[in-house]
Amino acid sequence: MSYLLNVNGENRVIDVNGDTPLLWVVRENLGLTGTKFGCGVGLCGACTVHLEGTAVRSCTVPIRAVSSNSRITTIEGLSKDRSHPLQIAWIAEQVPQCGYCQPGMLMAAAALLREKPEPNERDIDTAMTNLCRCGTYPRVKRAILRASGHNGRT
Amino acid sequence: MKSSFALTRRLFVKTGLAAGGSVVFYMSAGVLPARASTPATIDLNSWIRIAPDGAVTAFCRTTELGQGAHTSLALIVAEELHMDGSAVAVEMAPVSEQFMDITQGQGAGYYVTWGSLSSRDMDTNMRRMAATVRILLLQAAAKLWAVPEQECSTEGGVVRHVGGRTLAYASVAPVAAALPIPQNVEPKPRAKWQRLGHSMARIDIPAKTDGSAIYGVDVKLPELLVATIMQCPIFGGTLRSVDSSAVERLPGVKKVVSLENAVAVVADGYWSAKKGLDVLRPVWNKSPHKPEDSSMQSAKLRVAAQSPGRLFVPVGAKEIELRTAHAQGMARGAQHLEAIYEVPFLAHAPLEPMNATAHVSRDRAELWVPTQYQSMVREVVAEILGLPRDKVIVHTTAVGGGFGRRTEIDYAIQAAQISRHVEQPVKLIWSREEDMSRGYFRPMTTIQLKAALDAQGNPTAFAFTAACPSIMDYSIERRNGAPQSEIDEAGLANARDWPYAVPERKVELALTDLGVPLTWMRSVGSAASVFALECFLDEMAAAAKIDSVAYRRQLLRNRPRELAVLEKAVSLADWDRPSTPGRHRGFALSISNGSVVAQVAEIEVNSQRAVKLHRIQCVVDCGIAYNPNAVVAQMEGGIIFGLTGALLGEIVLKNGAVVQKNFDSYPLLTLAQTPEIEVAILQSDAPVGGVGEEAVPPVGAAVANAIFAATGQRLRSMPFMRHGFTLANVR
Ligand code: FES
Ligand code: FES
Repeated sequence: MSYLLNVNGENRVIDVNGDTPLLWVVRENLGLTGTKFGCGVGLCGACTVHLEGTAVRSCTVPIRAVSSNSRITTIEGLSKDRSHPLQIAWIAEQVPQCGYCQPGMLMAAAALLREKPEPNERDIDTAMTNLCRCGTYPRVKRAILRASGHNGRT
Repeated sequence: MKSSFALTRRLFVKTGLAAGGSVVFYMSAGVLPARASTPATIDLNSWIRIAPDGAVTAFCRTTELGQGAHTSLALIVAEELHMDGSAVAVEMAPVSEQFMDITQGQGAGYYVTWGSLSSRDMDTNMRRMAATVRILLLQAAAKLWAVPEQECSTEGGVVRHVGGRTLAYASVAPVAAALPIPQNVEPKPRAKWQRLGHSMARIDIPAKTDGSAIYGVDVKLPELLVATIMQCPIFGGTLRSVDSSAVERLPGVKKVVSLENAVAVVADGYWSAKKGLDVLRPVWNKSPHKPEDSSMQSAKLRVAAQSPGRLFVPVGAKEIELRTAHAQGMARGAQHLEAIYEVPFLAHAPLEPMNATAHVSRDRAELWVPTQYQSMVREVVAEILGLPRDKVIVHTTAVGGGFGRRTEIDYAIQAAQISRHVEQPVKLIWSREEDMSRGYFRPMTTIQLKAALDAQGNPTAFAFTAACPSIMDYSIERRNGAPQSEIDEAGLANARDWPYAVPERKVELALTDLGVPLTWMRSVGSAASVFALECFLDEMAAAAKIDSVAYRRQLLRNRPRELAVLEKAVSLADWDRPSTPGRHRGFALSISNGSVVAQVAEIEVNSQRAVKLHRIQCVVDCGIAYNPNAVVAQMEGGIIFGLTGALLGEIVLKNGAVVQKNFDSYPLLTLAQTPEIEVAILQSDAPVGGVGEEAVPPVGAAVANAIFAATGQRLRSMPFMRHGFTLANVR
């Protein structure tokens, strides 16, 4: 089957089996490897992308469930030059360790800030359910607060 | 490559190795015949390259796992070369004999990241190497100018003469390369450091914020196929047969490849491969060593821990005297304590599942591997494919978490075998389910402790018996013939070298095989040993009716370094003041890999037995902290890793197979459950110690001691949540 998607602002047509998860379409068919495979069943959030502006775990979204021309944003599309306030905050707070969970973390955080530009700690607790094996959570929280204007502190 | 010429036995310089006439400063051990008159200067291989455009690159054989190793190396080289830290790039050295570390272990040479050794390796070698290179550059400029060396100085990548003339490092490097190597150059003393010891932004971080870092799973090659694998679910079992005909007709599937104990589906993408694998029905041969259920395994370890094990006898001591003195110490006790502590198998569960990419052709193989053990990948893949080692090229990709799991190389071997089969490049990606359930694991361990206390509560004797299976029965490292005892005794070290004044110790190891593949995990045996030791010490303090910190203070009276760390943690946590109502605290301290860590856990347990982790305060003395902010990050990460293991983690065997398959049954601590973490670094004159693993061991004990303070219940087995508690969000 052929699918028409708008990925990071570009129209793309891909030919793939309809049950293929969006994760693998993005990674393998579109070659955008920033979106990561961690668990494959919606538990870790490493595969988080934005579908029509909402954070989704792309490993659980079969491509046939994505309506034609949907807007998809991946980590590569968050900004052109690491200029998204979250990317700046992520570097300032030195968040990543191995870094594997971080594209998903950033995409989940970006969706949170779009919905709640000034989240409190509880909002962050609720929204940020992505897993990080390296234990970067304290810095993830600080970076989100920093990006939202709390200057890194509550 | 143009010419290469030896200058001394240990330190010699090559020119033109890199494209474009770069000068490469290179050290080697034992490559060239010794000249009797030349003292050995430097022991390990290290590289510094100065390119004609002035770019300085340091080569490294440590995998960047997010611990900041490459940034520390850049800082070290920058400090000694008097340059800006950001002006030094770091690259992985080629995986070949020249760059192996031949000073450790038994093997032909190591290119490996483990044991928190990387900063220590850098400390002893790279600092000296870089300092020597700086002197050479200075001498070269002095020679060109025909002025005394003393009139020259270095800063910001140039040599400067007092008269004001300057020469860039790049322009004097070719002259420097031809000079005799100055011997015994001392690196800068610590008091003169301008960069080391100050936090520097990690050089690997920007690429980890925009998706551009290329991990193993991200490797792209022309004609690349993707494979995924199912290994015999019962350890020790092998593949008998598999009917692949239907699967090979599925869209996208190229081939089904049978391996000794596994079957892989190769396809045009991961999803096609996985769909193929899902319908495959392999038939397995029965395992001759099917492991027992975990309840049986732990019963077996309890028996072993209570039976005599192999006694650790310090050099110069006699077993019989040791036993006698211990028995006498025990007899002197006015009261006796005894307890058994247990930890389960654990999976490393790095967020990037095991994977490797291989392109095998008739006369060579090229691999792209997220690995901690490059030299072993090369050695074993060469052997299996029947190729000379220099025909196996190993590239290190970015790595999505190692924690010790990637010191095993099973995934790389499989990728090479599959690629050979299909005669095309193949990227093998394990599913999370394979990654979680197929090992290698942290060993299940049971520890029996005994202590005798005199009338004042002072210990008069102490016994520690650890029962666990041997890592060396399973790890690929056994190929190097490392003595089993050294590795498996790693956990005993904490009991042997326990800093407290506890006399007449009897420390024993009872190795008991359980048929489950094992390897190192972040902090290795220390997580189990320190849990047992630091909780049991609280039991001893309680029996002595002394506050647990006061008791430790008393027993550390002759250990100033440990005492300083303890005092710092105590003052951070305001231990001597009562805690906030409803909250309870626990303390623990440990020493591993040359670093001392103390932690105070502050928790709350409500009437429904829901545990809130409010705060962990942590003090570390790692001697030198090259990049303090990166040390803090390692402490935070180690604490969270340790909490996950202590509270939640457990790999259980049933009917020979692992029950846990994914993060639903093997949960990780979440952001909402994570306590506030406060880290203080205590700089000391001690040599540089590890920081990647050392925050893990004490945290379980600190939390267990706090839970005792809250509930009066001693938690003597992990994970704590198995004792009827739940873990609540902190806020
Ligand atoms: S890979 Fe999608 S949630 Fe884990
Ligand atoms: S940084 Fe490694 S998993 Fe999050």
